[in-house]
Amino acid sequence: MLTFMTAYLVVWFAVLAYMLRLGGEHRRLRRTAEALQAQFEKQRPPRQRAA
Amino acid sequence: MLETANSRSLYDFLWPAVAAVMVTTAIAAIFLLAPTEETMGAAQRIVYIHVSVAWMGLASFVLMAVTGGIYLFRRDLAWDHWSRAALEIGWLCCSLTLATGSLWAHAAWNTWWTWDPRLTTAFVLWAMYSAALVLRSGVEDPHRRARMGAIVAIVGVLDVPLVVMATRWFRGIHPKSPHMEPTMRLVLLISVVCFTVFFAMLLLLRRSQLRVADMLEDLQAQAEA
Amino acid sequence: MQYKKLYWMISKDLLSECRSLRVWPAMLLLGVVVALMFAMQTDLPPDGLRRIVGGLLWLTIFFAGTLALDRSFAAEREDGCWEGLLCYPVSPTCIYLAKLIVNVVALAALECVLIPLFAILTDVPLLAHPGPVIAVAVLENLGLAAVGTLLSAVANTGRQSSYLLPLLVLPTVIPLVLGAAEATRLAVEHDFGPAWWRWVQLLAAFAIVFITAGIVLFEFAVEE
Repeated sequence: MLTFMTAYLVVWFAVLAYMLRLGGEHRRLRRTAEALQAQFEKQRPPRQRAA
Repeated sequence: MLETANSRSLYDFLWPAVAAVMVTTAIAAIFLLAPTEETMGAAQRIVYIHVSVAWMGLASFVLMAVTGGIYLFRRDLAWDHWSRAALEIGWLCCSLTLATGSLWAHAAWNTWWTWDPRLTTAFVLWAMYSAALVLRSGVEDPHRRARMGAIVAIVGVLDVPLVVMATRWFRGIHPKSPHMEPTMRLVLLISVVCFTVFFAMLLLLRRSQLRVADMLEDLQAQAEA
Repeated sequence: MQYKKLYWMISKDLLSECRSLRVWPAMLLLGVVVALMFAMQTDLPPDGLRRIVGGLLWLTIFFAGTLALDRSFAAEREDGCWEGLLCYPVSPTCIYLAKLIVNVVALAALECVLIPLFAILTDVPLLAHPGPVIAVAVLENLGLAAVGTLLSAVANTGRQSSYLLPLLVLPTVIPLVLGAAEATRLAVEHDFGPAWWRWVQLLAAFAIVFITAGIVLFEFAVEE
């Protein structure tokens, strides 16, 4: 029983860790996208920005 | 483009929901439906997850090699995204195969490891996955990285049959196809199908994330230009 | 097939190695040291030694040989000749086969030292039937050099340090290690039945598969 539970917990935690890593990567990408958005906002000519 | 990014379609919820339901079904089946085996007791239930991740590890390797090969022909980095996603999921599944297999081996044969064909092949697969990860992390240029990754994947896929042949003639104690009751076979089938769907979803998710990451990098390069 | 250019490249590499002695001494020394360490650790009765000496011998050759394989392209890269070589009207296949043959020769030199050394250290009659052992060695050299040359081109790209090639090559050549070790063990026991032939066929299959794969894939590894 112990062996079986250990195996399942190992799988569970490994998959969980991987999914959390994907989530972290997602947050990083969102930060990059927001930074890019801010940069494009600044680069737009003032006329369009006011609109 | 902006409109679709902000609205959520049914599909965005449907596939994760399907995967979640399937995994729950599989786990329920493994715990509740499968009968307890007489000689090994509860530890035998490891086989359901072990076979699922083992098959996924092998399938991912083949996918990685195929998409790598297609990249070498087409030179479209989209194929490399598939390759990289398959590499990550495959490494995860292969590591889990070795871990669960080792735990089961200790319960069943009182040894943590043995050099029988399938274990040796699993080890070789894991070593090649790891080497591919190390290799890719050291190369900056995306196209060069994709090329080298593809070559390693193809070499690996050619190697696996030779490893199987060599180790099969060497020795073997891994159970070939142990006699399983019909209920056990059913649970095994449920497990394999459900976990395959789940890992396939993870793979698709990771691939689209890699594609977005590349798109953002391109935009960043454009913004700095 | 540009035989002249192939011949020229092989002789250039061998001559350059003879004159500068970059790789072979280190490789031979590593082989000898590893062999001595193995011999020190295996204090077994002759029967036991007969069974494992094949494995030990080939492991030593693989570890030391990987050193030579890692340096396959080092000479060109260090002297800045790599771009020059690619500019020449020489096909990548030709470069690959030339480097392959140079590596086979290097491995053969290593074996010329290590096989007698193991025979002396362990008192196992490795050289009683030299023919089969040499055949096994030739096939294994071809297989190892085929994989090693291709993966050396892959591993030495980017900012890798030299640990990457062993990590790539050693798992891939497990069938070769098994095949060579078993074939040597059977040769030492004078057992040249179907089992021996099976292992030899495996070694030959490995060599054919990976020389072909190398010829096809090498140009992808070296394009700029």
